[in-house]
Amino acid sequence: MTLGSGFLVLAAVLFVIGLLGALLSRDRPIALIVSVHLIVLAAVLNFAGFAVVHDNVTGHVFAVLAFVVSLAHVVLLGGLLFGVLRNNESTSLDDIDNLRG
Amino acid sequence: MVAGAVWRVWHGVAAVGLAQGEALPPVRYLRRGKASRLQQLMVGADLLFILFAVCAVGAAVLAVLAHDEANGVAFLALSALNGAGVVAVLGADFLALFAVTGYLFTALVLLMGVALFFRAQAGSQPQTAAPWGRVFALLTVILAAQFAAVLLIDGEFVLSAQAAISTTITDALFGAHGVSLLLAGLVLLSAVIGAAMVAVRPNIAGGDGNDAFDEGLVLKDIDLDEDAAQAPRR
Repeated sequence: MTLGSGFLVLAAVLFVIGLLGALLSRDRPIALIVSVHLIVLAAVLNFAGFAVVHDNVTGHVFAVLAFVVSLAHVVLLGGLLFGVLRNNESTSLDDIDNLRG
Repeated sequence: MVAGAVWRVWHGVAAVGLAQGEALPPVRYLRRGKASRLQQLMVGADLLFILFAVCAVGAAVLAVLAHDEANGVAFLALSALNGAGVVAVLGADFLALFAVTGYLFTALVLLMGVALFFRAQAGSQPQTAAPWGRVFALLTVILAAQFAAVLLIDGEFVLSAQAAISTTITDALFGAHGVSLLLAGLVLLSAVIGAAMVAVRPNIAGGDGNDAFDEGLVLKDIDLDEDAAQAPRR
């Protein structure tokens, strides 16, 4: 049936789209976050799909943990973006390469 | 003719995933009502899977190619919702609900970032009216169509035998994988605290300050007494 292998194709396509988006969005931080989330979505689809196919709950647990890490990533980048916007007029990733603590 | 071609394409795509000599029901078999209930459910789940998958990929492409950041975030939310639909079709309802919640939170945070982005650029660039209304109307139509499709196509998923998997997942999360969940929560807490510290820290990235952004954050002084005096009295 389609579900058996369709999620692999879908996850691969989403991963490639996210990877290309991350490579092409050099000057747009939010587009970079969007692309990274597409990659995470592909990983979660793989976790869920394999967990269902192999009837193993561990895949679901790993998917939940991946979501939590993804949320942490968004929160941290949101704060970083806020701080950068507060002090710099430009948000280009090439212009803020001198981040220091 | 077109329907036949679509059926053949779908049949070919579906046949890729056949396992252990499993046969797909021919379309005429379904029309005559001779297919078993399980076969009908398989067809419904496959159609829903294809619907969600196509919408997820299309929204992902639009999210990456969108020039407007808000549109990109909106299409990311659409792609994530369709990904959650795919996960639900796969039988992981708990994970699908978790995905919807998580990506709604993500979309809200990113939309806040987009608003800050535009506010920061307000002083340096002329504001142009972004076609947000049309995009969100399009998303609403797409979601409504998908909801209608879920209602029209048999909503019972093929893997409904795993209906009790939510209980199993929670048992695993708070049982054998409890330490991992606790660590993930600590990571999220650390990220929130770190984000707050980074946001209030001065001189991040060595900038000289963004006056337009600071002015946008300060609430305007509103004289309530003066406003009350100017209000028409009845």
